[in-house]
Amino acid sequence: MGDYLKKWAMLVGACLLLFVFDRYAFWALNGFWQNLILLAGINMVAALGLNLTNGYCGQFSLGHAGFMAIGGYATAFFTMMFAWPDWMLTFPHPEFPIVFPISLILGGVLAAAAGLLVGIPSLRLKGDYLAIATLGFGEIVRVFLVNFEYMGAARGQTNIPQYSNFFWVYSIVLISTVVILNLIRSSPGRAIISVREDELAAEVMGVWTVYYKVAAFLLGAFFAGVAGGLLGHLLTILTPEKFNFVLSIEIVVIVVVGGMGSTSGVLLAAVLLTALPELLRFTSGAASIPGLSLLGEPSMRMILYSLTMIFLMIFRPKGLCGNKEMWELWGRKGS
Amino acid sequence: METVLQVLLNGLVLGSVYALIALGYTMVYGVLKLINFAHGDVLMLGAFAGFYIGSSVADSVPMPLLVTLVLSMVICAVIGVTIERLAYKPVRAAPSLTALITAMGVSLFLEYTTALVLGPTPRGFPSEKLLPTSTVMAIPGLPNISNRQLVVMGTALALMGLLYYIVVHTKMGKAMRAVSFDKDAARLMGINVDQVISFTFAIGSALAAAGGVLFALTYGRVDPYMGIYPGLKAFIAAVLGGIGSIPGAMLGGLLMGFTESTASYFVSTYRDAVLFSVLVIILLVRPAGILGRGLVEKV
Amino acid sequence: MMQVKHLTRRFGGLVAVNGVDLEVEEGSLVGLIGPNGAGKTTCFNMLSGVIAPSEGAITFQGKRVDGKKAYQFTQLGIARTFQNIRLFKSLSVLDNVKIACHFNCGYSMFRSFFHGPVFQRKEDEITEHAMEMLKIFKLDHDAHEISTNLAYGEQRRLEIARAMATRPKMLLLDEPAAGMNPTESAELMDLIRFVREKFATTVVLIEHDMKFVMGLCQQILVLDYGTPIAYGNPAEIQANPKVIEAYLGKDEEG
Repeated sequence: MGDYLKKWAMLVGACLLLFVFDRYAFWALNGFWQNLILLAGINMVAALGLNLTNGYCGQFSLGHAGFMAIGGYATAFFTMMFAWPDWMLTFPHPEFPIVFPISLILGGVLAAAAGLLVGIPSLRLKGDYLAIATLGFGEIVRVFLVNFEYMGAARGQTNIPQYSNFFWVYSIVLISTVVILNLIRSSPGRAIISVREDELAAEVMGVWTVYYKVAAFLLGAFFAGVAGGLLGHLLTILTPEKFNFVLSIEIVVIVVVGGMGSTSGVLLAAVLLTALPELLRFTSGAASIPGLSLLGEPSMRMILYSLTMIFLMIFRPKGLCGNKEMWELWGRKGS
Repeated sequence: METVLQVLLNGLVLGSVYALIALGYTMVYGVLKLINFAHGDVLMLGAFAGFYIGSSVADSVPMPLLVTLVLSMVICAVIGVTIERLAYKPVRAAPSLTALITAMGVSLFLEYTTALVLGPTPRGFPSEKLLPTSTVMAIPGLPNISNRQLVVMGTALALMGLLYYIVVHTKMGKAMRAVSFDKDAARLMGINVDQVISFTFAIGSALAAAGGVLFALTYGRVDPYMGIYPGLKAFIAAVLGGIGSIPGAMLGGLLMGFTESTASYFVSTYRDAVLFSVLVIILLVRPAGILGRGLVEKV
Repeated sequence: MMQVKHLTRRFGGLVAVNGVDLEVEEGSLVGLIGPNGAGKTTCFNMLSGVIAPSEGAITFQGKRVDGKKAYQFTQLGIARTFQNIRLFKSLSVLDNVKIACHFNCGYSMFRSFFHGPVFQRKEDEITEHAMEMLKIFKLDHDAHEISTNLAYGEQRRLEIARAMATRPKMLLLDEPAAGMNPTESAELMDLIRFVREKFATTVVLIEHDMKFVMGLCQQILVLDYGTPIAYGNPAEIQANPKVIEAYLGKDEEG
């Protein structure tokens, strides 16, 4: 009992520390690093969600960008167009008003509702067929957004307030990590994993697999929606093109590189794979060294990114961490 | 009436090219259980090969289109085999998702390497030089059929026929079917599985190259990212038909072609949404594609 | 305890199981035998809800259960094992058993996000129950081992332990002695007898090993080409000319 309260008090404390850091230190970094750190955090949230669906439940989804799009657009709608009472837009502070977290949650909930919708096909489809059906879902969302005049159609929604800051992004990363690890170390979490391990055996052990598959989709979509909301309020612009299937693939790559079913591995991979292309961009600044300027070429970054993917898969086919957590791997080496 | 026929004709032309590309996906899936995500990019390389060959031979050889087509197919066959040897072979024993990510990596690698080396901007394909357009049939009340449409469709159908012959009647084709049925049993029967896989990649990539040249011929341009959407749609066609099934890929390709031409006529802005909705609906009714084998698990 | 009436299953044109009638008494130990391809496993799949019968009715403890899903069968008290062991391969031995406790876990998914006091108490109960099962099946020393690292016989035991953790009233064992040597299968016989007494469980099993079935079961149902050809106690079955013709006749030479 006491232990439980202490843990949650620690989490709140950690969020407060993040807030202090955000106010008094984060601004000192230059814009490039700020952006990189925030993007990494947003990718973490999206990948944590996908890891639940793909990694823990084994339901291979290629439609994560669709959920992110729904969350992103919905959150922007709620912060910009919804008729909130005026005080909510300035309370407790105009830079971080209460409407932002509320809108993020609403965006996540809408994405989760879409996840429910997509989760249902997953009851009939397996493996590659499920992957392609979810990819289809993502593309359908994108095409609808291209035709969605109310929020800018193909031009996208502009002038979104820049509410996403270090505090919000990393508090959400922290809370998501704790909640997901808690879920996974519980009976419903084991039920989700049992679906991945052997669906039939799970069913025969009394696990209502249908429920847990849909739940995994729904929760994964929720986190994707929140990540989408954070992304929109970081970039201040959302276009349908941002959410094409390449984004879904990027998130899948984070999960696979990190290790399907390893929360810490996925967090690490999100940092590495977000930073890698951006840091390569950085090298273009050091163009005085012959040959190095080539590294700054935009396509060169993607080439190195893709080679990293290929070599990682060849030499660490189960990702960085397999389905273990980092501390479990270290623990084993130590003993 | 004329519009209906026009839509059907467009669907048939487009569909036959999709079918051609879908065959590559389905054959590779058959022998390796791998979704070769880079297939669309091999198509792009084929189109670029066609661009360079076509531009240089257009005035100097007879039947320049045929020469262009054959040479691009040969080049891509070599590229396909090389990709398999370097990237896919090392992950053959790994879980299928690992191989899929590798394929995605190869896909990005091909796109951006092409963009780096050849430049990211689109270029005009010498369609007019290779095959000057003319209207072959202009009967009032019927849609106009151009020679280009006929050539595209004819080439696609001829190549599919050739493939069908190879798979059904040649020794290599039988070996391919054996490997896709049971790789280990095939190996025990003395089939050189590596060789069969290489052969499959060669054939599949050659077909992709042909598809690329036909696409470039129709739309008159090539760029490093041109393979993404045709590749994706052809892949969907393969899944629709039941991935691993050769007649399925052909059927799925035609279905995609018809759906796309119908959708672009009626609701052009929602074209891709219609396409993917059809995909999702068909999969819900037939979870393993139209001609796919059921996924019944033995207990 | 369980009444099966005219159970039939067709796959396309093939009739895999044809009109099986069976009455399983509470506390009994019933064997299901028959040559390869006789429809034993299909029959089991229907009794455990894995596939739905084409025709016929299954009544368990007075309730019609056919048409329900496999997980509902388990929750009603019918657990099973598989012919080819199906453990949760990358999970620990303990987690394998804990998953079987899931539907009795007593808290919602919502609670599992927070790991509150109710969660903690229920989770302790699950761990305790699972460890108890492992102890009974002498697997407690390997509780934290990954399940595929166990020896073959231990994996079989774990599968039974996992099934028993669902607290079944009836246990279906699909070829539990497959791949075991005589010593191991003798141990298994003792184990099955022990489980039956300790948990007051009704047991139905499929087995190819005649010595095993004859030595263990009180009642035996013989299937041939999906059709029941005999039902009775071991002595009756051994004397039944139809059975000898279909099955034992060939077996006696070997």
